[in-house]
Amino acid sequence: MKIENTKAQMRKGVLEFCILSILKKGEAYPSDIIAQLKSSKMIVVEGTIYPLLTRLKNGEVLEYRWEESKSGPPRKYYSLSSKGKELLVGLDETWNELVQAVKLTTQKSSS
Amino acid sequence: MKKTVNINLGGIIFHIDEDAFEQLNAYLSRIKSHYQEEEGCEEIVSDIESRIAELLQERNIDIISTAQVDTIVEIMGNPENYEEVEEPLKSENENSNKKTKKRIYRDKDNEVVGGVCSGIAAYFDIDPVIIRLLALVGMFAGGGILVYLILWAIIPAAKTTAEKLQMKGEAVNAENIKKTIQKEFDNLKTTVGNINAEEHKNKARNIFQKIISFFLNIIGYIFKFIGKFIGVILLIMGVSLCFMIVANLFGSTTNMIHINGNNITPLNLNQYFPLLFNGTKLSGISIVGLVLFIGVPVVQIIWLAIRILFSIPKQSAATRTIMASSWTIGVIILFYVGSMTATHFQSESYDTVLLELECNSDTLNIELSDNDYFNTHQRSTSYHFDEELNSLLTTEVYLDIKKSKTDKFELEIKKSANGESQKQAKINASKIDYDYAVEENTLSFSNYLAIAPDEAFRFQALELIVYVPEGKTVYLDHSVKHFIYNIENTSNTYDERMVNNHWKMNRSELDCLDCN
Repeated sequence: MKIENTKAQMRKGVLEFCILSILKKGEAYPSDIIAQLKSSKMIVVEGTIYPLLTRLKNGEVLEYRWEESKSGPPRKYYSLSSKGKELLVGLDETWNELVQAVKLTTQKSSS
Repeated sequence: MKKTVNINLGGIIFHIDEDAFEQLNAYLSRIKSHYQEEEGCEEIVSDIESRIAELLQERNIDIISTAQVDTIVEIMGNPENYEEVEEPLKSENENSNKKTKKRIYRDKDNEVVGGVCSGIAAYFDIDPVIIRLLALVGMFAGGGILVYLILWAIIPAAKTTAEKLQMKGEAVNAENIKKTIQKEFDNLKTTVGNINAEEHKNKARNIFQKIISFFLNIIGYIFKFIGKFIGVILLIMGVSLCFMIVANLFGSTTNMIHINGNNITPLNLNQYFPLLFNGTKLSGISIVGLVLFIGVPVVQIIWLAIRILFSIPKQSAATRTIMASSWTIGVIILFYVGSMTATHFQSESYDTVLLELECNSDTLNIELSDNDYFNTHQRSTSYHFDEELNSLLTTEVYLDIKKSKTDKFELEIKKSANGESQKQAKINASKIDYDYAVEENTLSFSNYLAIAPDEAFRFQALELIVYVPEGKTVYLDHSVKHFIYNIENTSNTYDERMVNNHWKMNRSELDCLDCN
């Protein structure tokens, strides 16, 4: 088993969670999301985000609306759907549980 | 000067270099093909296009060049790098498919003879007993043993754990397929009947695919085996050719090349080059030509062999061009050397000496003198380079007998050679070193002539003409058998049959005295 795979697996679920968390504060268009994820080093290459957004949208977790831009191409502003909000609540809980669990496990095994 | 193209990215027009356009286009189609099986593929691509448009606009460039496209690709990343966010199930499946791609191995853990049957059984995921029964039937039906031995030879044994897993990889796959179907069931809420049908279909397809890939596997091994075999042969060939070239160019005597098939005559270019190019400056350049002409193919053969055996990368186009042109240069050099050398052979001339032979009897014996260099019992135009004498020896010696115009035995030695002019040819001929002796009414001549040290080889040859007075006799010893050249006689006896006999000169021709 490769370490890279493990890392990717861990990142996978967390990335979705991060996107939903970003959108919790209000709607955003992909470049905004990318900027935030990049600054927190969640992603390296920008292309990563697009298939994910499309999947989330197709899974009815996200919705979007078009908005004209003065300076560039029209933008898709994404926001959480009601289903997405529910999912995020669930994920928040799971995340906290996981953090607790990992903390406990790693502390125990390191002491 | 570069051509630019106008493109529409996310609704905005850009000017872009033609090659930059090709590059961008290739990048986008890579993404497209990566997600083509995915729902919303068009959307993903158009979203990425919009982002690229945005990035390009931020940079505010008049004409987009390949450098900018490179930057964009770096920022956006290649679709392979997005993999980490693939849907978990899909990527797991893909990974396990890759890891457990089935290959056929011999199963040494369950072997009866060589593990071939158990290996095949593991491949098809069936009981080895079935395969063994089939094999047994095959052996009685004929040819089975041979097939078994061949399979034994070409199928590698599963030694490492990884190979054993590859051999049995199927189990993991089946589980994954089941999982996939289960998941589909949850998602699509299809009926139970549908799943069963799906499962059946999958199974059938798998067995069919397995059989096909089984044979492909076997054929693959056979070709690999043949390939390696050819590789080894090529390597041996190439390396021995290499040795030959080195030995011939720089080394001492070697008997790998023969100038004449009958005699094992070592060819050493160090000795032969001065003979061919003496007095000209072609020697050095011709070595270059030879090395290129023979060396390039040999290097290519060795390269090919190593490529087959150790799978190193192909030669680059540049290397191949260099190789091809080096070889061509070699050919041109050899052609030049050849035509220059040919001019040194264009004229032929003679150097003749006429001597009186002392003979007290009425009969003159003619025989060959013994020597260390050539067998006196056979004749073939052979060359021998003698290191002690430092000269080339050749058996270009011919004997003729004619009627003497006087009443004495006479001997004419006619040396001939070629040269770039008549004059030079005559000089070359006069430098031929030749031995003969007359003792006790016997003429014994040498069956070879020597090309004097530091002289060039120019088709030197020698004709001995013995003039016999009318009424006198010659005896031809057996040893001269192969050196007689077209002696006229009354009975029209062939040259080789004239030996061991006495011949008397009548008015114009020889008459046999003791032929039967």
